[in-house]
Amino acid sequence: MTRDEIFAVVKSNVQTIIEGAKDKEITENNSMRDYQADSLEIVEVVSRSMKQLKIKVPRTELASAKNLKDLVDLFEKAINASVPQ
Amino acid sequence: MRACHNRFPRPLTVVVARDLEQPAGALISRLSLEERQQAEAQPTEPGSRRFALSRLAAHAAARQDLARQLPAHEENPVIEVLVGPGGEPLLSIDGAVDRLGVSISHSSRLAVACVWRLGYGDDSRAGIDLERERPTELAESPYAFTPSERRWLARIQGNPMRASLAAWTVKEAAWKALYTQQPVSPAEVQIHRFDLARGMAIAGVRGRGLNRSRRFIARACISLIEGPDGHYLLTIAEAMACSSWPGRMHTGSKIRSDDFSRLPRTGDQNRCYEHHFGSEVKLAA
Repeated sequence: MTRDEIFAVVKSNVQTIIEGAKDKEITENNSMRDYQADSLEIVEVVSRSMKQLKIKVPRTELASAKNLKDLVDLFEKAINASVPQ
Repeated sequence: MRACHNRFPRPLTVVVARDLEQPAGALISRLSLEERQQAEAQPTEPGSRRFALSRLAAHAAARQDLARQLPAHEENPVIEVLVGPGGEPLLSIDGAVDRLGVSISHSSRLAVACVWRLGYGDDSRAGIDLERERPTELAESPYAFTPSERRWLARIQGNPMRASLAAWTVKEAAWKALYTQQPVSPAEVQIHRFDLARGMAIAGVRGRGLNRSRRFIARACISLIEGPDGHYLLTIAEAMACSSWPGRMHTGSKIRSDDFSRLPRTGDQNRCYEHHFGSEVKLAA
């Protein structure tokens, strides 16, 4: 899966779940808080994205993500780690 | 559960504010200059409305508490909600931020604020969280809940969506109450007791950089309230210090969908008010 495809999954969930993001341009440099996401919406975006990408990322690592770019990086790393060598 | 010393004997004042769909300007005009600037800086109109509503709920709760404190309280004190160093809300009463503590939450068309008196020699806090009931996959989320929490959520009969949202409000309210010990995210708060039938829970985190024998926990009361657009879960948590962990968790008894309809209650001196902006204050307790 390419990085763009991973971002597309996250972007779709951001626009679907976060009320303040519905008609906004979603960019990697922004955080979900920039779209007025509350804590519950953030959890739902992250959870649904991980479920769709079939990955698990430790909560402590997720806590370090400052924006969507960091989140996509973590997801990409988890996907690459799960691909058989 | 082993005995814990309750460091929070103070009464709380809670105000629930309903969005009656007045123009946003009518709400924002009632804020202080700084609050107005913050409201107008919100990127969306619904965001501005919710921001304004939550601040007005805090103002109303402060006025109710001040009215109870002294028979002849100051008339029309200047009340505003400032932002503290950690992003937490601070209540300013005529410029002083050391009289009342505050916690605020908003969801869809309700906002809620909880205030308590400061100056008792410690910094114990309360935390409040409000979530509108809606479809969610939260119960299955490994980010929101630990494996043991997901197991007992899966066993709850009746309304698992309501249970998962209630459990989340416990985490969020406890996270706000445990401010000085809070982890990075409410998801890291662990629930140790969860009795949905009684509307009670215990949650906490382990102390950091402090005496390792100290554990910091919050006791929570969960209620279901009716809003303009459906049911809402409202949780108030109070911080406590405890010398040991509460012990094994249990899920409590079975619940029915209409099992809890009590208003939030954290002590006999608690009062809960509903404030309909544009109409008279109604007492509901």
